[in-house]
Amino acid sequence: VSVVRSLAITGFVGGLVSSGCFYVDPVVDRPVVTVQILSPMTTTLYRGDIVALTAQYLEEDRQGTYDWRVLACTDLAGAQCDVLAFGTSRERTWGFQVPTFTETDEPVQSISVRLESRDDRGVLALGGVDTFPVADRPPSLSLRKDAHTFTVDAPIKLFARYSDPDDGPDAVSLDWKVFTPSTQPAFELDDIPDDLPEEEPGDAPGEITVSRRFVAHGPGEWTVAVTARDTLGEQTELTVPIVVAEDRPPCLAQWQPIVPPEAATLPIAAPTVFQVSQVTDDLDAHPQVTGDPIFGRPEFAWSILRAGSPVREPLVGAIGNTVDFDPRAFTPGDLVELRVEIFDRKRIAIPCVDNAPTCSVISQPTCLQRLTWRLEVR
Amino acid sequence: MRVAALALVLAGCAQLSGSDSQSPGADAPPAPECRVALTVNPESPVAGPSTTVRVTAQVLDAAGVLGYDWRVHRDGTRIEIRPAQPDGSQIDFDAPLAGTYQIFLDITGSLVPCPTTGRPVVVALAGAVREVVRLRVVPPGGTAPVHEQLRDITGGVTADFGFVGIEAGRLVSATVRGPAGVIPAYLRFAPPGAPDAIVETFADAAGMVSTRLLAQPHDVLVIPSVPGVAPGRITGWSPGTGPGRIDLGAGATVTGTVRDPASAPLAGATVTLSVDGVPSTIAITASDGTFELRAATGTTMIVEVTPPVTSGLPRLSATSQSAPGALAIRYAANLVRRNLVGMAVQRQGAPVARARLMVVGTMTEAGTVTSGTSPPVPATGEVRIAAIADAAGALTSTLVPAAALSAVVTVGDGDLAVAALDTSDGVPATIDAPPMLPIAPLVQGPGGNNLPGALLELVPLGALAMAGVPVVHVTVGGNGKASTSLAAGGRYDLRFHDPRRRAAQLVVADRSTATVETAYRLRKGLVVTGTLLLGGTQPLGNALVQILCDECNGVARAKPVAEAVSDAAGGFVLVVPDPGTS
Repeated sequence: VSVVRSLAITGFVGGLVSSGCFYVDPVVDRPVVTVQILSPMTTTLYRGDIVALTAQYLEEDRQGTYDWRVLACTDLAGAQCDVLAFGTSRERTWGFQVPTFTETDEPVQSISVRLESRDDRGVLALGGVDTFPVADRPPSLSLRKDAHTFTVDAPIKLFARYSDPDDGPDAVSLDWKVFTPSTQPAFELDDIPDDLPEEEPGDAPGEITVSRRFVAHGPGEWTVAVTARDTLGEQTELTVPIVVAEDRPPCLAQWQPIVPPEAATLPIAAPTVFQVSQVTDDLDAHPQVTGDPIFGRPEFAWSILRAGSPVREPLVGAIGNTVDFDPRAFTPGDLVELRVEIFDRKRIAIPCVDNAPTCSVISQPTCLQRLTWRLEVR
Repeated sequence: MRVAALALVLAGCAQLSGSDSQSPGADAPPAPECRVALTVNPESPVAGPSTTVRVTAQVLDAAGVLGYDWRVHRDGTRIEIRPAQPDGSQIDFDAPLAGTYQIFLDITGSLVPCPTTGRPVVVALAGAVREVVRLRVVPPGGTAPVHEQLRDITGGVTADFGFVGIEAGRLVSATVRGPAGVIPAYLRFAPPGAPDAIVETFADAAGMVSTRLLAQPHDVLVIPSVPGVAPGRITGWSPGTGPGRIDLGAGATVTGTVRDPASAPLAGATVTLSVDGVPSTIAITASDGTFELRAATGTTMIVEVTPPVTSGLPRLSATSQSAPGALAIRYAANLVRRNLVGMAVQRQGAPVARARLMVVGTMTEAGTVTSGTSPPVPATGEVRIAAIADAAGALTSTLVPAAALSAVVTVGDGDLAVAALDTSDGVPATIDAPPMLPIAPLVQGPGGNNLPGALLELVPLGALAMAGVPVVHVTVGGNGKASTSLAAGGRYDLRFHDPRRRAAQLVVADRSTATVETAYRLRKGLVVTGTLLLGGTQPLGNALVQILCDECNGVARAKPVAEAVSDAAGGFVLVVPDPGTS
């Protein structure tokens, strides 16, 4: 700060008292200028940050000229800096982006701000040199799970979307870990094979999505942890809990034609396709779940009890979801029972007695594995 | 210039007046909405460098200064559009590539709200073949009635059906009454515009029936569960606003006699009629050959006579255009019967103990049916007579007609053979049942890759079908082959399909074991997508979505070409055979 002082002096000269004013040249102190960061407002600067700087004289009304140079350095003290400045300006307030690498392709660890400022009298201000440490941002990471069912032996797709705000996604490596339930069942964690659709929307610019196929071979509470680590050692870790249940029995969901209520019969006067058009199941649904070869089909077992016959005959070879029934192969008035039973890969035996028209292996009327059409041939 | 198609899209039209309609605010009067119709010209554009499609919006019941916000997409990519009218009500877009172009229009500035309107426009490849299919949707858990509509599939073009509106319908209750009061019955409701979209239900002992139907008149087939009451069909039945009634008429009483080839009364024969597709009650002839039944009235009558099992006579079938009257049914006088007793069933020269035979065949003139004073009509004969061999492989006493017949021999469970059995001039001493013949065709996808997990259905034809042999299902193994054994002498349709949607269904008609190829290559399928919206707004998940043949008849009409279940957002993806290009 430069201060001009005017003095009023009163004194004795030769016994005479005289009074008056005289002036001295203004005393010019060396001004002091400081560098202030206007933004970001955080205490830490990161590589890639947009920074706004301003110069501030101690005396606020003082004006001057400004000559900014900002250098990228490879140490925290700002001692080992590039020769060439990455940012220069002659404005009092200006901005730049903190580079991620120096000229020697080393990560930037600090920036050295060098400001030559002269006040309106041309006096070079003190100050104006400062070093700001620059930190490395950790990678960004999001984790998502997706599955038709969270069941033992069912494939679960895991999607890790990552990037690094400083260095971009290519500088990030992922580490996957699986924490098993206490019973420590086996599991698989693989890349999703090329022929399987990954079903993940496109990455945003600067992001990469990596997918894994996780198969738990036992029930319980599983955790998959993903660590994204950049080349400077910064890391971000996320976990996704996965509760895996046992494979449940298949359930008959839709069928045609209608199954008659108890004591009623379904009249059949024309060739008819009996079909189970939908089976819900974790792994063996119908229509079949696509997207992974682990999904299969339920097995259908059809049988017929002809009029007057004491024995229900299996329809050998009829293991699909449909059976054609031609009433002309019977006599009008015949009462016939057509039965279907379904099994998934666990092939749990149907425990009900033969004359029970329906059956549920889990005793739930909403999840049947057996249906019986009681038909009257017309 | 072809006449442009007018697609009137009535968004929100699914709101119903039913007591429990799925539409929100069903009890409140419907809010006024404007209607938007989109006209496309040409109606069936063909892709090309100079192809331009013009779309015109027609807005009805709107007020205000309207603005038109158009969007056109193809395969998820936005297509550039050009205004063709200063007010924006008409646009053009270029269509150099084949595909389904989805058009969306939002109307702004209307004082009456206008729903977003959309419609797909299929731009075909040059020479593309169009095929009409049935899109069938079965909503889960009875949330809505079965929905069917016709759709075009165009060769070479992925089909995007866009939004498929599913009407929630309304819960309808009614009482079924016969001539003498309420009756239990089986009922089948069919909307006239989609006769395959049937809704089946049963009326209980009090005649009460409750089911969910579309809000439109239905044809109702009623088959009483009590004897003596004639089934009937009520056309255009509408439940009205309150509990409805379904009144079944008394029908007509039909009497008649059945006589065997010697003109003797045939006792124990079962007689049924089908009048305009409505079955009658079932009658069994008395010892004097007479019968009485009740039937609906109509113009086309099919008479069926099933003789007693031991009679050795064929089942008769005759179609008459006469009104049901007194029926005189006679087997042809020249119909001779043979007894198969003692005929030896062999396999490669060795007797087959306990073999079971189903003797089958057809006879063109097996009898006549005379209705009242009308001239007699010929009746065809259908033979399905079971026979069984003893422990020595010799057939027990079984009468069959003298004719060129076939026998389906069951040696063991699933072990079949088809053999000719000509009894015209007598009973042969032996019948041979050759062993099953193995087949193992390689099943490949469009690129020549094997398709493990694909399915082969072997649909019996001819004698096997008449004998009631079920469809055989074979899963393609890890080696890409569908390995199984077929009945020697049998004929089958081969239906390949891939549940994993790697290829489209392939049907190969009428093959014997000798003519099954060593490899079949399934064609690339066309992807069909769409989104189900219940009541026009609510995504309908977990619904069964099927594509079915529209030209097919019989059981083939009920067998899906492709099927899938809609996801939680109502979306579905199917793969159907590509109709190709001509």
